[in-house]
Amino acid sequence: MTIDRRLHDAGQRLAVMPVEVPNLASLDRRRPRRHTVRRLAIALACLGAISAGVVAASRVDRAPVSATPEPSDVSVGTVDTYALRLDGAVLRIDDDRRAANARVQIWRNGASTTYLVLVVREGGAVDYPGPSELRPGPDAGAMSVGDGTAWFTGAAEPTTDTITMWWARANRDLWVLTGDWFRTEPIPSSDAVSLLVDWALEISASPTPTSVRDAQIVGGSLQPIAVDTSGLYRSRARVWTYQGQEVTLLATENSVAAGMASVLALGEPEPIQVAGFPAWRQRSSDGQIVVGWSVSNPHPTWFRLVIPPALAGAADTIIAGLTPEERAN
Amino acid sequence: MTPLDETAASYDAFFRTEYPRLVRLLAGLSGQWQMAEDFAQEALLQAHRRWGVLQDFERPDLWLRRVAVNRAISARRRVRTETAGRARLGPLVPMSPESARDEELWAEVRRLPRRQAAAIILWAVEGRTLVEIGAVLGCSAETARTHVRRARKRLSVTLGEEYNDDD
Repeated sequence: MTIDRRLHDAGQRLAVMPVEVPNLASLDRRRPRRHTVRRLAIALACLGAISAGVVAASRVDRAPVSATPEPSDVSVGTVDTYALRLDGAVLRIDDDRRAANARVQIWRNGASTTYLVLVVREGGAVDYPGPSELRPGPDAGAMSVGDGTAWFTGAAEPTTDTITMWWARANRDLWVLTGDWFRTEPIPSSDAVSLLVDWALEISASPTPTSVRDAQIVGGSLQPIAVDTSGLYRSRARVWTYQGQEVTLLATENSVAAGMASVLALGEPEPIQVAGFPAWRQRSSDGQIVVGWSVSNPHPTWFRLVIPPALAGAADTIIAGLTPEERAN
Repeated sequence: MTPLDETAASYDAFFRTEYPRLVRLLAGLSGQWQMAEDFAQEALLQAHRRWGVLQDFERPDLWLRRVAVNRAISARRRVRTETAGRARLGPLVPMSPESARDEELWAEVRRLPRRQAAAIILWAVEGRTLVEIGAVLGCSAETARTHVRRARKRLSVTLGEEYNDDD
């Protein structure tokens, strides 16, 4: 037998293997099977950390966030011990696993509303296709920055209020830096590009570039407010059935910065309380209600509650119905 | 139907068409059916997030494969670690019972250099053209041809099969 024939036959056998296509609850409103929900929830948890910078590039709503709360240091336990119950709902899934986090760090410009989010994807530059593959447009041109090549999205117009720099570095790491200017008037795009390049070079020149809380860049004007380090961390997903729809709560250790970045990417957050803790509430472009908050005992952990569009009208009741549960694990 | 509904419907159709194909493709690359499902869902989640842009692409299916194949290949070390870890916990679920006899072949494919492995699986499982394989791998069709040829030649040696260099 030739190798081509063997490859062809094996390929044909594999190509006709039955694959059950999971339902897409968010699209057709049918409840997906348990394993599908679990995988999607876990994938969302992983992707939330890895692609916070990518999400930031697609935001639509812009508004000041100066009224938003700082991450809470109040202890409620982490994925090992946390247990919130939801009144009036049936717990369907309680699942945990370990997943890799990207390095994420966020700075804020003093008391103003300028934010810088940095996501470091170790080795990500190796297979990075460049933003032109993700988002075609004239603003995706490459330029040489420091030891690598950078692309920019959000710089096509004369002015901007958010811009993302995708920096493929010589050490094969991919840095995704997103600058947010939450204010009434956007800034010239050329100024935004220059600022991002300056910040990137300054951070990369730091002795401990992406894992320091005390790093102050641009003359000390930007203050670090959250940082995640890369590694394997536990995440835990709970899914309830509430009035026939599914409500998901994800808790991911050491993902506070990634969680905050995803909140910033959605636009103006509304400060609220969840089970006695300061939280941010937002509505995604597809109508989901997303609530995020953090705790830190013993590991910084980000909580993300997702309420489907069909339950948006009941969001206040659901959020109020989340209460601590006496539970060993 | 609103534009939002149309967008959702178009993604729904894309998902239903591409998910099974992607799982089979990634099963060959990862050697684990469950991991292939995970990789496929992660790639389709990325596509969902960018669907507003991707739906206007001429070939969103190739973009999807580029993301998925890169993900599966870059995770090969993790796959090996997970496979070893799962093996300690109990018997592994075979990639597919019906294709168990092909496992020797796919195992050798996974030992190939990563671009050769991706190229040969796209070629053998999906019947992709060299132009399409090049688009997925981010190289020219001629380079894709080189990857496929070298993969076939190497597999013929490791598996003891005849090799005809007639392409």
